[in-house]
Amino acid sequence: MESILQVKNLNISFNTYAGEVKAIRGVDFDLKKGETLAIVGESGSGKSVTTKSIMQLLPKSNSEIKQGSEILFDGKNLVDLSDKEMEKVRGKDISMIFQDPMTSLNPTMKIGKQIAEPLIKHQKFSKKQAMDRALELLKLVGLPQPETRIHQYPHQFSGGQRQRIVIAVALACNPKVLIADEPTTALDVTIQAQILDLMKNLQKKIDTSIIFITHDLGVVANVADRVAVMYGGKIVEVGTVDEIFYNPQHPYTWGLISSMPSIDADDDELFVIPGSPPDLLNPPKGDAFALRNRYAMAIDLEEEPPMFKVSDTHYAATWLLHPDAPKVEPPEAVKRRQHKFTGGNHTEGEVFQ
Amino acid sequence: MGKYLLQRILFMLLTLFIIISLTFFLMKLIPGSPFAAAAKLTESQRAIMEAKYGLDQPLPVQYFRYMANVIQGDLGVSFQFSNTPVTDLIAGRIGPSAVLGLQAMIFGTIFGIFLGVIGALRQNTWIDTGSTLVAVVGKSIPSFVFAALLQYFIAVKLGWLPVAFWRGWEYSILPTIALSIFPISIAARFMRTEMIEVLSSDYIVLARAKGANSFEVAFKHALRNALIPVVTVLGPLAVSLMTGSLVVEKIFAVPGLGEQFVTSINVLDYPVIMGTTILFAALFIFVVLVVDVLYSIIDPRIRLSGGEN
Repeated sequence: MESILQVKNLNISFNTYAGEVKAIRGVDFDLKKGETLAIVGESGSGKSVTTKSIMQLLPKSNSEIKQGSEILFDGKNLVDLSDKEMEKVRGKDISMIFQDPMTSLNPTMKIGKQIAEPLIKHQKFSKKQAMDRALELLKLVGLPQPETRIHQYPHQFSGGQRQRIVIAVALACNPKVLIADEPTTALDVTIQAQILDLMKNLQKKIDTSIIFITHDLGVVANVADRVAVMYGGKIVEVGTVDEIFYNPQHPYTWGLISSMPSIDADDDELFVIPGSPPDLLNPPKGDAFALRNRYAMAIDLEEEPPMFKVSDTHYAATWLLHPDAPKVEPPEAVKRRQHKFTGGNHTEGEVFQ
Repeated sequence: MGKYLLQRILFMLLTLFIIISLTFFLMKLIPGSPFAAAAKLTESQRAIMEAKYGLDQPLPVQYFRYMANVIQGDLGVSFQFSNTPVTDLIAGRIGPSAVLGLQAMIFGTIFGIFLGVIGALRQNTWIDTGSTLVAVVGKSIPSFVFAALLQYFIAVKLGWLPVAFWRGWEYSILPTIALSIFPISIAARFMRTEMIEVLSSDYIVLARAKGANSFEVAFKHALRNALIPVVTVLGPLAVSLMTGSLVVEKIFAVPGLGEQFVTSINVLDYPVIMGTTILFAALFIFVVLVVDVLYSIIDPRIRLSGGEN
């Protein structure tokens, strides 16, 4: 399938008083046309920084995208674009939905105007045309009584309704890529399900590709075609949703899956990943996950694992996939899942770069 | 909205009544008599004068008489300016004070807000430092120092503008500038802080994600939200400017209210003290109402409603 967005060797640092924090350390992934790619990982793993860098929304004053980083979209490297050029991409070709709908709309501007704004800017619509289209968008995202509500202010809407409005803003110009940064985290569970359904339906309607950031694996299973697992500023495992859920290879992914509560499992205790995320001010020498990993080997402390190929779509960065590595038993929860996996599992020990 | 305004106006009148009463009794606590200074008067002559103005009556009687007159719009006559009605005195003096205050306010807030906004947009650059410097200097150096400096350099050395007096618009320029230094620094400081806070909020990131450029982000999205707290400080500031800065009026020989007020206190000209106080208080209360109405215009989350609903 054709890639619409490619991220290659992305390195981002933040300059703080304490020193340089290497938040993103060599991230590669591509987004295929029409798919939903979920990026999962714990807080501080670099999910949001990665997507903000695609939009070039990181604060210029203290962040730095390193030389050699590439974010290829539409034949352009977004890292090299000027502010002016980037303004033409934002909201038109790539748009974004944020985590907290309660704060992401301007409280002093009517919602109709907020939806119409990108249309007037990018599509050169007249005010009237833009408001007509805003009304259509409100109908599309399923807001009741759009004719009256288009003239209301954000505080007159509930959280779920506001997120629908934010989605309408993001979809106004039919973007080719939609970045959703934890769009359902701040919503309660029933509203979450509605918003996820809405996003899935709209994706088909306007034929867009979605990067979906979340730390909720339940949401991932619901929406994603492919999953990238991030840890310590790197992607440690990437594969189709079935491969990640039923045949995970990286011990961190094992940890994530084991710590998912499940209704049918009769475990007494919920698994937790011990320890805390790595300090990216002084990133560890070898595998960043080694200190929290009970499957860690001596080499994990010395050298970072490369990406090993598991299948054509599935890669994982763990020394356990090296042909010389000892066979280990994954946790129970993972083994139960692996039994259900129907896809091939032929580790070739091939290094993917 | 109508019900709200009516309720507010009733409360304003009540506030005004309390202020007038308090001032009346406090003023009477000042020892001495308005006619004590005029040493040429004999004891009996003074008694005649005091009887004429009703000052020989017991305090409650004086109070009720005064209040009855005020309700009818009669503020009495001045003791020091040979029986000129207080309303005429104020009317003759309020013009220059109002012109100066209004000009200083408009120029001061617009320029101050501008300084604050560019300071916030170019945070931690030399522009920001410059804007902060202007604000700190403006707030810490008293206006009469600026007034003297302006007079010396612009009027005396360069001869561009008149040194003092009140004979046309060009005479108002220097006192306006001297008077506006304070609102400039207040507006600039508040605006910068608010703007920086607003610029880091989620909806600003969303506005940028929509493709808005930095101009649109600052003026279409951030400014209105940042203005809300600034309006609070500017309201009362406006009154103190409009009612005249005594020092600046004195330095530039502007025949304003401030000067008259202080002289009246010194000679215990009761009607003028009371009249000016009523004017200041009424203006202040009115501006507070205007600020509240402005809030609801700037911030749609604030809806003015009467009572508990």
